Amino acid sequence: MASNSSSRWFTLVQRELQEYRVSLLWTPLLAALAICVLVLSSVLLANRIAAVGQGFVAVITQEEQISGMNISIQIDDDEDGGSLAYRIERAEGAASEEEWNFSRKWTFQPRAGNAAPADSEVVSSGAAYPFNAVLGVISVLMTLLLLIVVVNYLLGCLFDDRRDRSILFWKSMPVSEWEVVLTKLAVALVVAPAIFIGAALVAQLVCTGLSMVLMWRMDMDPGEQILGNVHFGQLLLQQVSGWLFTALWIAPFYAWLLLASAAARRSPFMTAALPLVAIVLAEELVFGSDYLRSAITRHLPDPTVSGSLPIPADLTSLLLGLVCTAVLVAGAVWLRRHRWEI
Amino acid sequence: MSRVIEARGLSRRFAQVQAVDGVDLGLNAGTVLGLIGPNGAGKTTLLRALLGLTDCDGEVQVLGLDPRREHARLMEQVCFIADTAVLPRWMSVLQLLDYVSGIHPRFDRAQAEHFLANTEVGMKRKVAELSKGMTVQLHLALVMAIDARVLILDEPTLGLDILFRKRFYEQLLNDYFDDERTIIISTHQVEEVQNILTEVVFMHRGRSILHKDMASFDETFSEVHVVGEATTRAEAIPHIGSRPILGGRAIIYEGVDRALLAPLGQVRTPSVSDLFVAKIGGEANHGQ
Repeated sequence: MASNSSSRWFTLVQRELQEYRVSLLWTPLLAALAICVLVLSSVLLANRIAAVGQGFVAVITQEEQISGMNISIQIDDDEDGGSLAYRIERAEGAASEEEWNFSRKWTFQPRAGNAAPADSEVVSSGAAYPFNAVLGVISVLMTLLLLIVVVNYLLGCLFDDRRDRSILFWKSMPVSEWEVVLTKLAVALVVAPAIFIGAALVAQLVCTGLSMVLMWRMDMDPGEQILGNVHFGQLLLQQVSGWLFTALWIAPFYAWLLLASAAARRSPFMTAALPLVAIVLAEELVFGSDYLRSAITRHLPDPTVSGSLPIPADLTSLLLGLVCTAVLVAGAVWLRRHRWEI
Repeated sequence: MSRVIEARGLSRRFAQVQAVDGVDLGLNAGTVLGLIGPNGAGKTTLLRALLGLTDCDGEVQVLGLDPRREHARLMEQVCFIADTAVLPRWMSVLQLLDYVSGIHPRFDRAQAEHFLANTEVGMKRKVAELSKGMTVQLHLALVMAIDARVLILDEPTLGLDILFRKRFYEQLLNDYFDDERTIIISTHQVEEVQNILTEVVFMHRGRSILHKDMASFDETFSEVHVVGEATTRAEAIPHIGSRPILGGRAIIYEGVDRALLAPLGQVRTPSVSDLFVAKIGGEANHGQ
């Protein structure tokens, strides 16, 4: 029976991945590939810079004085996975012995407003292993993409089958609506993030390799400069545990999207957005307060804050959110049973 | 014999319309029921109530289960084709087979593949690429490979050409039906199903206006083809309907002794569709 029920769940999840193959499988893979290709081209480009720079290196070595180097990374924050560009420049003035470890100056400056603030978890945690912070950029990009994909998935998953009437086929199968809705929530909270984190990890490994090639081309020791500054175990742990806490926080938001998808007659997006906007505006106009807005914003996804343990003050909000999740999921199940016809 | 389906006082009201109005229905195993009625008679709503797909008033039990509360459990024993073209269009045939074998405990994949081998439905094709007829064949192959006790078909052959329709019902009767199973078919195309039915229900305006065993059909109903003077005499006997035929009239009687009718003209058993037209026509006149 155990194998039977696990194969049931496997079939249900497999069905989701088949239906949303493009957004849940191809998107993360292509995004990871795009990142790798961009980094590769940067390496090739940097190689040219290095060739020019060899003249300087010759001068530098003659002078027996070696300058520090700033390497900055700019992120183009767009939907197709973003692009990374390395810029390598010589800093003014000589560097002290300590600054020889140039990778301490790896920084990144997101241009888009909604991207990571410089002091976010991802970056600050890079203090011990500076190159982790660089690779963290990739995971921020992938998380951003994940959110777009999953929000889209959740809004469509309980609506599309009602619109094309295939719900009549799904309902002819011995699957309860609880199983259906919980599968979709599990895909959004666990399966899709696992795929995206996996893809991010592959991209990070490739980028590490490419960076080592870059270092080697620049006549620096790749082992020391890169491997010495990166800790994959920590990176993985950070991404996985980060997502688990994020998942707990945004579960009610996802459940709300499921409810909207199950309730919508025309546009799931409008069904999801309008009531929230209306209720927040109403509160501000009538009571002049913004409790609801802050309560809701706390549970909205923020790709740059890869979660932390909830501080005690927020524990109430977290638990309340989980209670809301249960209520909203039950609502979605009820709608699937009683109000499925469009 | 235990009842497979038992419904009492089944009613369903939508905002403006009483879709189903106090229908009683009891079926035993081994029945093939034809549910016949004009558009909007409430056939689909009745079938959906039996399947637990819609709320309703009254009592319903299918295989001893409440379809509303135990829908998922019921679906292990009950199959339905609710409409043509409800198979998910994005799926390939192979994915569909994977899904049903992973989910349905009574599905025999080899049998489904055997059924499909006789059709033009290729394993790698997507449902969206299949013609309407092929989609129905695919759905029927899936359903017939499920060892269910009740099969409900709501207009399963709507919009298909006559060759497909004939093959559909032949296959259903030859490869699927046995004494243990119960089949309900709702359709407009009465002529094509009438030889496979064991019972028939006429629905009109949400009510069941006739529920007959096909075996007792001959005894209850008779149709006389009359010409000339006999017409007036024949029309004097209470009848449920009459229609013009070449050179005379065909008049349908309910519960009139055939010996009484024989002198008037040629006596035969009316077809289900003619009886249906007579009955509904009569009801419509009563309504006015």
